[in-house]
Amino acid sequence: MRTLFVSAIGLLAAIAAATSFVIVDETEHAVITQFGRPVAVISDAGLYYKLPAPIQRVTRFERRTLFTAPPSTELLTADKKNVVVETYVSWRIADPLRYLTALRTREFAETRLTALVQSELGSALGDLPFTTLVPGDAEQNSEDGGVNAGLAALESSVHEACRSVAADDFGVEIVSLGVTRLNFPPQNLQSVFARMRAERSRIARGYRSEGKAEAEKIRAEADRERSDIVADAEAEAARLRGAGEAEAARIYGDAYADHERFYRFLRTLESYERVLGDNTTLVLPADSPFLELLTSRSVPDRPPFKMPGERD
Amino acid sequence: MDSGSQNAGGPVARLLRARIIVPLALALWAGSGLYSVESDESAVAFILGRTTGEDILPGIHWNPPRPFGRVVVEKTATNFTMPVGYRFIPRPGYGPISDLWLTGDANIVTVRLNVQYSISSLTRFLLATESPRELVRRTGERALTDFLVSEGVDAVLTSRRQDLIDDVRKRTQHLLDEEDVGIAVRSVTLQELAPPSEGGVRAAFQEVQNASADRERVIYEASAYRAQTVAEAEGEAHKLRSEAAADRYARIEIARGETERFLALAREHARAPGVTEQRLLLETIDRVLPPLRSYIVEPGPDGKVNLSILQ
Repeated sequence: MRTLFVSAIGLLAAIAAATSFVIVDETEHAVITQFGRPVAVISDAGLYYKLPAPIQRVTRFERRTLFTAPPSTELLTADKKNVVVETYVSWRIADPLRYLTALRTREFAETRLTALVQSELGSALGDLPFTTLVPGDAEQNSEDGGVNAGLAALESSVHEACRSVAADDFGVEIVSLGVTRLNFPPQNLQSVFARMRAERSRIARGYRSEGKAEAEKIRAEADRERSDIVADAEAEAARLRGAGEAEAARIYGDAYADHERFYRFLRTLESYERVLGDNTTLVLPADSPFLELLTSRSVPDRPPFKMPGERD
Repeated sequence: MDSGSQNAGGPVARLLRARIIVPLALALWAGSGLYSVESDESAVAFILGRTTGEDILPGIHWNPPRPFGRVVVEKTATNFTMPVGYRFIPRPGYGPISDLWLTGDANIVTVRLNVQYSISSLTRFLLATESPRELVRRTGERALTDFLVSEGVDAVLTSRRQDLIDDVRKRTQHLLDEEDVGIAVRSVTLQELAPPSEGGVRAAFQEVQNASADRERVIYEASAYRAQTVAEAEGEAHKLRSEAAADRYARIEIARGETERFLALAREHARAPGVTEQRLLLETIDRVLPPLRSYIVEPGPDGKVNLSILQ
C-alpha cells in the first residue's frame, strides 16, 4: 500500500516535471496561460519553466512570416473598368497577446486579413483610373526599367492602409503585400480577344499596303532612273555627234578654204551625179556648148563650158 | 513480505539490469544524435529551440537528440523548379489555372515561366517564413506582372523577350532578399511566351507575320525589278554612247578622207587647171547622161525651145 502511494506520487511528480519545462523554438512564440489567462509571452528561443499542466498551459504561435494569398477579386477602377486582381500578403504575428485575443486561430486570421486587404484594395483601386495601372501606350514606360509606377503606388498605398489596421487590431505585422496578377474578368476576355484580332488585322493590312506602296515607289524610282540614264546617254550621244560634225566641218573648212572655186566646181559635178537619175529627162538645145563638136564638126579652140566665175 | 516477494529476481539480477540496461539506453539515445550531411546537403541544428545561426556543412555531426534538440537536413545544392504563370498540377483552393497575363497596352499574352532556385541559407530558409517555396511563386508572378504592365504586347513578344527573363530573375531575387528567405534564384526559363491560343488571336498574330513577310517579298521583288531595269538602261546607255562615239569617229574620218582626196585633186588641178576641169566635167557627163532620156532640140529663132515633142 505504501509502495503504491509512493509510485503514484512519483508518477504525478514525473508528469508535473515533464509539463513544467517548455522548449520554445526559434520559429515560434509561446504564450503561457494560467487557467486561460495569459501570464507570459516568450519570444526568445530556449528552455523555460512554468507551473505544471493543469495550472499553466502553453500556446504556440508561428514567429516566421506567414503567407496568405487572398482569392482573386474582381474590382472596379475609377473609370469603371473591371479588373481581376490577385495579391499575396506575407505577415507575421508581432504581438502574440493581441493576436490571441483578436483572432486566436490561423483560419480566422486569414479570413480577417483577406477581408482587410480586399476592402483596402477595392477602395484604392476605385480612386485610380485603369490607365494608371495599364498605361495603354506602354512604350513610354519602357525606359523606367520595367517597374510600373502606378502598380508600385497601388501596392504601397494598400500596404500602408492595411499595416496600421493589422498592427493595432490584430497584432499582425504585414511584411509585404504585392499584386501578383492583373487581368480582365473572364467574361470580358472574348471582347479583348476580338479587339486584339482587329488590331492585328489592322497591322497586317498596314504591312501589306506599306509593302505595296514601297514597292511602287521603288518601281517608279527604277523607271525614272532608267529614263534618266537613257536621257543622259542620249544627250551625251548628241554631244558626241555634234562634236564630230564640228570637227568634220572644221576639217572640211580648213581644206576647202584655200581652194574655194575648185571645191564649188567639184561639188557641183557631184551634185549632178546625185541629182540626175533614171527618171530625169534632159532637153539639150542643139547649140549647147556640149554639142558644139557634134554640130560644127570642128574642135572648138576653147573649152566646151565656161566654168562658173570664169571670165571669157 | 510483499517487498521480499517482489525482489524475487535477487539483488544480483537487479544490479545487472540497472548496470546494463540504463547505460545501454543512454548510449543508444545519445548515439541517435549522430547524423550525416551529404555533399549536396546542408543542415540546421536546434538545441533547446536555438539554432547555431549558421548552416552545418557536409560531414558527420552530433546534436543532442530529442527532446533537447532536432536537426533538419535539406538538399541545398539542388536546383528546384517553381512554375510561374501556371501550375504543374492544379490544386483546389488556388483559383483557376490561368496562363493569361495583361500587358501594358491592355492586350493579353500567354506566359509560362519556370523559376529555378536553390537554398542559399538553410537557416534563413527554415526561420524566415513558413512557406518559402510558395513565396518564390508569388514573388515571381509579382515580378512578371510588374514587367508586363510596363510593356506593349509587341515588345514583349519580340524585342524584350530576354529582358523579360532578366528582369523577372532580378526582381524576384530582389523581392526574396527583402524578406531574407535564404533563396537564390538561379535562372528563369521561358516555357511559353505567345499570343493567347484562345479566340483566334494566335492566328491573327501569325497573319501579321505573314503580312510582314509579304511586305518584305514585294519590296524585294521591286528591288529586283529596279536592279534589272537599271542594268538594262545602263546597257542601252552604253550602246547609245558607243554608237554616237562611232558616228563621231566615222564622221571625222570621212571628213579627213574626203578632204585628203580633195586636196590631192586640188594639187593636180593647180598644176593643170583647164585640163583637169575639162576631164572631170566630161567624165561626169559620161556617167550621168547614159541613163537619162535626152532630147536634142533645135532652138527656135527666138532662141526658145519647143517642148511639145515631149508630150
